Amino acid sequence: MDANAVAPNCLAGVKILDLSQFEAGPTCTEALAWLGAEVAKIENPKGGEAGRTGFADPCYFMMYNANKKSVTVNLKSERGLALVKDMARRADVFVENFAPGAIERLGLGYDVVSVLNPRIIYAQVKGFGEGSPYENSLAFDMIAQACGGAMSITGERDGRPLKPGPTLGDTGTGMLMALSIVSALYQRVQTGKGRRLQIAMQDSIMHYSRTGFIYQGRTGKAAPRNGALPLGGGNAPSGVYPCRPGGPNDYVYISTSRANPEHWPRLLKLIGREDLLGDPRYDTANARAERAAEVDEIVAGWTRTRSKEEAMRLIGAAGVPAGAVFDTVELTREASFYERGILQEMEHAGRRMTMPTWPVRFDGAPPPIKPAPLLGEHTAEVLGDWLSLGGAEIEALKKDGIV
Amino acid sequence: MDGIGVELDCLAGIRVVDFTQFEAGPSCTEALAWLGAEVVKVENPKTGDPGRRLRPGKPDDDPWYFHQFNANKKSLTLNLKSPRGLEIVKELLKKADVTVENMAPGTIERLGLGYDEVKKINPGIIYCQVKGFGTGSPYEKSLAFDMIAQAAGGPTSVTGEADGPPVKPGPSFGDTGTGMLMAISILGALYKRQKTGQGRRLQVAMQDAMIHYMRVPFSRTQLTGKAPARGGSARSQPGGLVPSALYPCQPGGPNDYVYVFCSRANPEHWQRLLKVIGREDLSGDPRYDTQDARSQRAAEVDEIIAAWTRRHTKEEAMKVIGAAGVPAGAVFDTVELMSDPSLAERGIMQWVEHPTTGRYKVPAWPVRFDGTPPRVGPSPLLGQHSAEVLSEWLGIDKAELDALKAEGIV
Repeated sequence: MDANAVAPNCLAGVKILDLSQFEAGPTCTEALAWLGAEVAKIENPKGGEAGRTGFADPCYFMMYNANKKSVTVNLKSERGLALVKDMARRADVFVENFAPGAIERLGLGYDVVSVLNPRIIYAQVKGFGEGSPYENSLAFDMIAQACGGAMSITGERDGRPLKPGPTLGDTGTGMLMALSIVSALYQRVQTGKGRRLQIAMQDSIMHYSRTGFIYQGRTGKAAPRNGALPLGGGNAPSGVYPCRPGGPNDYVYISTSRANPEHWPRLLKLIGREDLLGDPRYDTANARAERAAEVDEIVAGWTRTRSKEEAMRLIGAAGVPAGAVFDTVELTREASFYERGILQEMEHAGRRMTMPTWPVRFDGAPPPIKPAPLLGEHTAEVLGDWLSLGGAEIEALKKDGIV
Repeated sequence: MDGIGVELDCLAGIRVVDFTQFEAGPSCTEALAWLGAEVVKVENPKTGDPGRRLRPGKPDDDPWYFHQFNANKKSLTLNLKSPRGLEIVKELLKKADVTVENMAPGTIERLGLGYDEVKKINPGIIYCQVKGFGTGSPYEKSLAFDMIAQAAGGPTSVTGEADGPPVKPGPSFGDTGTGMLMAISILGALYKRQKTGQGRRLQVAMQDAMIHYMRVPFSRTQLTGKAPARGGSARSQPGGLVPSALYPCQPGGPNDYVYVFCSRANPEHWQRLLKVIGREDLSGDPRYDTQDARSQRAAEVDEIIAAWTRRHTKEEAMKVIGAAGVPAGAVFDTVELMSDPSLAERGIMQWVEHPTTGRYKVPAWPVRFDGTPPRVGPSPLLGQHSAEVLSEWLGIDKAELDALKAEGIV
């Protein structure tokens, strides 16, 4: 754990029964764990959650299951199902993101669980919404990004649609559900009543693509792809400019704003082109838009001789928005992330790993990361705490292959 | 307003003093409003949030942008640079549960409304700040917008065609994605405050928030030590997951593609796909039967699938492949989504009636509470709720309000 991190402890005492898998569900329950909830992840005793091995990437599971407890239970055995129902009686929140219909087939649908525990917040993440023509279809991150509009607005202007690299379909959905869960918990303090929460990944992507819908509102047309530029066009100069030494991510993003006419003269001064100050060919946003290619070359003439870090620092210090295109290796090496606790190092099953934590600081510090649990690591602890099962009983359950 | 959507009251009684502008802050406070909080947007009496317009100093001419991120809020105009205006806002802060700001670094402190000041007058307040870069970052003082955060936090580095330059992901999650992480944290802090009564300081940086959304690329980097190369989406990656790509559909428009993919975790997907596309002859063929075999023949596999998708529309392809139990998603554009009747029936897209813009349709908060998402209301006109809020929160009467207006304070 990191010295720069302090548990925010907001949800201390909240018990989450977590039947989620892969990313869309686990990111949601992980956020709740970071905020202080006790998250008991129910896993199949044989192999555990599919995300432990499904992507041939052991780090994947660790990323999305930090600070949780793992409890193995065979849900297809009668006794195992009874155990999980007992846990549901004591839980505050239930989260699942199985394929459509699977949780009901397991006998843990909303109608069953809400009767066992009328106070429970029952949360479901699916690919498509109830009532959607695709309601019964499977979805993963890329499917959601295709169907929710994200791919239609990502890519080169005349090129094909592209999938945004970040897994917004999964993590983005998990975040909207997490927010809704905590607000339902907040209200429950007064009402004592549970709620049913449902989200579809397709619907969630639209929430993050609202600038596309804004473009459509303005123009009546489907929002286009626009390469590195914002959908609305971008004010010249804006976009990615090449830097030294010319590697695949050696670019600096510069964005001069139409709302601030000072950006252009500041940039000219910085790049030593005061000779162009007041030049009518470039002096207004409209004039520059007419000569966008020339303007880009004026800026690129300077950026090409700088590293992206230097360019970002100098342009940023001059009061013009600029961001180097950092890749994951560069970000992982940046010392200030560790000093601020945004990246933390942890050890898991003999592997040392760098992990991004919940990036919000509470009173100056983000939450500390605890490694993702080993399969069944907390079975005895949780069954003991939640259900008062003793050592002998748990041994018997193990022997029968139930936990 | 249409019948779909309910007024959610999860956060009923929570008062938010909202100093935010553009998108990263407003998307956060809008989510709180949808969940039932009373969000009072404090705006400059002359021009309001710069997100109301495309050009500085011009009239409100970008209602679309403003509506999208300011639904269900109240607008209060107040000149924060006048002593009386500052005094009034401090009175409001005394009565507030939450305050949120996302101004340029140092601005809120210069206004005299920094954390130390506000905490003194209301120790129970949740004080929230959204900035481009974190306190202690080498870029701490730099400005940021969505595209800068997406560049500096990694998303742009993993988006683009193979061998092409980096591309900005279209969705503005540099803004909205950051806003959501702050909103969750605010709720966590409010939950805790029910027991402790104590306020907190919350801070998030857009660059840091981007890292949260790209933990899959970070996970790959942990394994390989390398930054993931951009691969586009046009073809399955040799050596990677095959098939997993966008396949062309009828009639060949710019968004006529369907994404199809077979999960490593479920070997049945490939068998099911072969059946749908009428290539059962390849079932059991050792050239394609396992993920490893297919990853050696990515181009061939893509062509087998594309030969079928080219003869179908994306909607057909998605329906048929999806129904067979294989993940498939059409690339829908904003017009197609806006006109999809099922999204409107489910309240995911809602009609809103606005006094000046008229009727318009917007994406709503996509989580259903007991079967229904929250109702989207119109964004406020500049200063629409000044009288209401000043009267309800501070007991300021009409005569006093008129005086404040005459002096240009409200």
